[in-house]
Amino acid sequence: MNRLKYLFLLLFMFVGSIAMAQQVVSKLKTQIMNIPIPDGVGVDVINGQGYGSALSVATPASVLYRIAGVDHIISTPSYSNKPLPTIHLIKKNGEWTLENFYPDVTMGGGRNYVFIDSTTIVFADHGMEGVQPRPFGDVWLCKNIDNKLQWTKVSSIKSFYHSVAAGDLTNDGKFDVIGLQMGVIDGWGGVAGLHTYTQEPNGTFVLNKDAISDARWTNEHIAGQGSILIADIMGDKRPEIIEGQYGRGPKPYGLAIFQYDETTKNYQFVKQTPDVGELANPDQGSTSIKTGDFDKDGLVDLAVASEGLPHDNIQIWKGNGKGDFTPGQLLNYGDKYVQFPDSTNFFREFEIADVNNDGWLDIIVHPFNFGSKFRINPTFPPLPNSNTTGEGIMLQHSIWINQKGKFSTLAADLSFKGIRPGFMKGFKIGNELRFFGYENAMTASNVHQFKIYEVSIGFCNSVIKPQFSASQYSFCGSGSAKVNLTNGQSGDSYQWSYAGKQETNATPSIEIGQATKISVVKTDALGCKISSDTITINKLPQPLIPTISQDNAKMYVSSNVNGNTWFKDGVQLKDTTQKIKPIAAGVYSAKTTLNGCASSMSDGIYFVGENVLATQQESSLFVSPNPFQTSLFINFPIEWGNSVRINLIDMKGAKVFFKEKVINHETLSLNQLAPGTYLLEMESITDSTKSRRFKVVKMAE
Amino acid sequence: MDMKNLLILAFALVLFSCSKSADPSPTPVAPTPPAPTAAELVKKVWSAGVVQWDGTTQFDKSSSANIVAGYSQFRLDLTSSTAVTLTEFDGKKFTGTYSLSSDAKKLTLSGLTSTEGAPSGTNGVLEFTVLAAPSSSSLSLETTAAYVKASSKKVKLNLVP
Repeated sequence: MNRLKYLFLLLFMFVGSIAMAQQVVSKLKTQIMNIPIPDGVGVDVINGQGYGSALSVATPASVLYRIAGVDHIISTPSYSNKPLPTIHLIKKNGEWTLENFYPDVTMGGGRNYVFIDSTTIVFADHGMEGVQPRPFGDVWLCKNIDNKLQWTKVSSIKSFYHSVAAGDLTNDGKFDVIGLQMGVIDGWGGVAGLHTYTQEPNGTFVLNKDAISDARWTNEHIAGQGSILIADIMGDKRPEIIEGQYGRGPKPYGLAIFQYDETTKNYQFVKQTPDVGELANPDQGSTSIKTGDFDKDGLVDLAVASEGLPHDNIQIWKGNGKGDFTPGQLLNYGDKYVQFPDSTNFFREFEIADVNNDGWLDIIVHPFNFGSKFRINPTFPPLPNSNTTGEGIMLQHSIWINQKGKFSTLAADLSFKGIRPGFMKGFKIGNELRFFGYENAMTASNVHQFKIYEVSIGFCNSVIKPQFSASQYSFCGSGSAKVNLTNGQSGDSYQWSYAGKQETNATPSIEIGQATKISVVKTDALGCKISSDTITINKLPQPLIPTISQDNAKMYVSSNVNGNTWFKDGVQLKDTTQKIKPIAAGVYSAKTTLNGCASSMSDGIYFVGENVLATQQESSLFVSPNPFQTSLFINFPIEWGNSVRINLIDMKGAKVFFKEKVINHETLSLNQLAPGTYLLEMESITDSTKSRRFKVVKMAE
Repeated sequence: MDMKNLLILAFALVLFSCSKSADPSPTPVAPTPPAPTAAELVKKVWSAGVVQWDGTTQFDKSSSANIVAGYSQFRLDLTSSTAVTLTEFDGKKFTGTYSLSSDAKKLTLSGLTSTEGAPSGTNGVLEFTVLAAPSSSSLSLETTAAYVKASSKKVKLNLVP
């Protein structure tokens, strides 16, 4: 019995996990571009490669972002014998277009970047790494103004800028920039390798050697530095400087905290992390630091990326709000390799964003190189002349989902065969996660040709189930039912299933002309799918058209017993019985309504009134026929004199016909009137006390 | 041979000899075509000339003032041997079959129907008495019973092609 109970429990948990599994959808878009960049600017003369080759390895400092609904890419190509121009792409009508390239803004190796705001980015360039002596690089500020880039060189010392951070260090309301160098030309390396550039009122930047002093920063801390962050981690409304260790040293410090000192009026080293976490490994070096409240305790935590052996890592550092951090979960792929860079998913930079919109900050790493968790079936570890790029790429290992403070890589399969980009970088754009990357597509005639791949990933945890406007629908006879959804949204598409058929449309409604059951699968703009309930469409019988007869009591009798409505001259009467007594002259007809289904109108009966025909030519007061089509016969009693005055007034009160003198038995020609109901006023000319109003109906001819 | 037979023989000889000598070259006479039957005469599209309801004229084709002017659109299409199309004074069109009695005294329209059913009160059957022998230029009919659609009056139709 207990065994059976556990079996049911396991089954329940299994079904529950299926129900809870998050639907992830993705779309790959491939575009070929060819940059008209002049020879000598974009051609790598050493490798004989064009600009596309350099783009395919422009990994660390390529960014994708959106401003006011317009998507932008800035890339900093490298892998050349000289620094190459940066490039700016804009998406227009769904296609990437070249906005500009900047021969005056060249980078040998864009290494790191930091967003100041939605339009402003600071890039760190370490310069040419493979050329000796290293020409080193600069720190650049890039502003996007009306979709045009405006570049400003921040640095004044050429250095191997490995990381960059921005914040208001001088408390003047303007952001300042720190470039973390790992090599410098003029000999001044700054305190702890930090070059501080403070922003002047005119927006330019100057090197501020006094921004940080080294009174408490001793040689024992010099283990090397790899990453930098400026953030208020102590809640004192003044940002701190956090520096991440890189490589070996006499004493690892992990993360070093520099705080503004009111006495010295500059930043001073105040503490380091007692537990240095993964940075205790001398083969690890931090590459990037970002903040985020990963456990939703309201306190700032850190994520620190590091590269090296035996694997790349991101370590989560839990903060206490006072500038103290405790190393926590390590995000890595368990690699145990001894040769750099043989990681199964090699990365340096990463992004923090709630990619699945569940309220918890997730982490996206930017894969490159030839790992088996980035490439599909590559030769791994890479061997000379082997198929290092495999059969395609996969991205699920680069998305670390935060489940209530614990990270794990995405379970969904995000494989894309047949593409071989040099890297893929992921950013949260709008409501979706978007990766992009380049693949060299150089030909003899198109030297700078490349492919740009874009993968859009949607997380379907908030897909709205389609709701029908009714729990069931009915229609009559040969008609149809219009089935509506109440919660359709722009961009949705619908696959309707009914009577063994499937039909797809883009509107949240469909006409169905048969009795059946129907359901719909909605696909939203992201590609997320969700099914509706199944509902029933009923076909109701259409009542027979009633035929009218007359019984011995001279009553009109409908052939249908129930559901009758009667009409005189096309106007519905109050009568709903099977029989009615015609009183006034006119055309009588009936229709039958059962279960909401109405028959067509019966044939009409032309009723002229009792005993009228025998006397109408002599003394009756009437107009005939009524309804009429083209003309009205006027008959009035002899006592009214020889002529009458006739007015016809339409239902809006407008006089549409007038004749001052109409003789008895005269026929008025009324062709010109539109079909409808009119009020006819007849008045004796000789005796104004004799007048009568008639409602007359003109039928279509 | 008795006397009677002799007289007959003699009379026959006289006749034979007389006709041969009195008209040696006779002129051919064209055969008279048979008169059309009533059934053939009614095979036309008829329209209303004069219409009376219970003896009161409702429509006269020659008049510009008619009580039921809609009879101007009346049509009784008997061009088929069996099928009939009746377009009533209100424009409703009914189809069905018809038959003319062997003595041509009764015209019966059967199975009359339309999208709105049969003519009111008829169950699809309208019977007419043929008031006068049909001719190529007139057909005179009267409903055998009160016609509900026409205010339950007996309808007399003087039809013209």
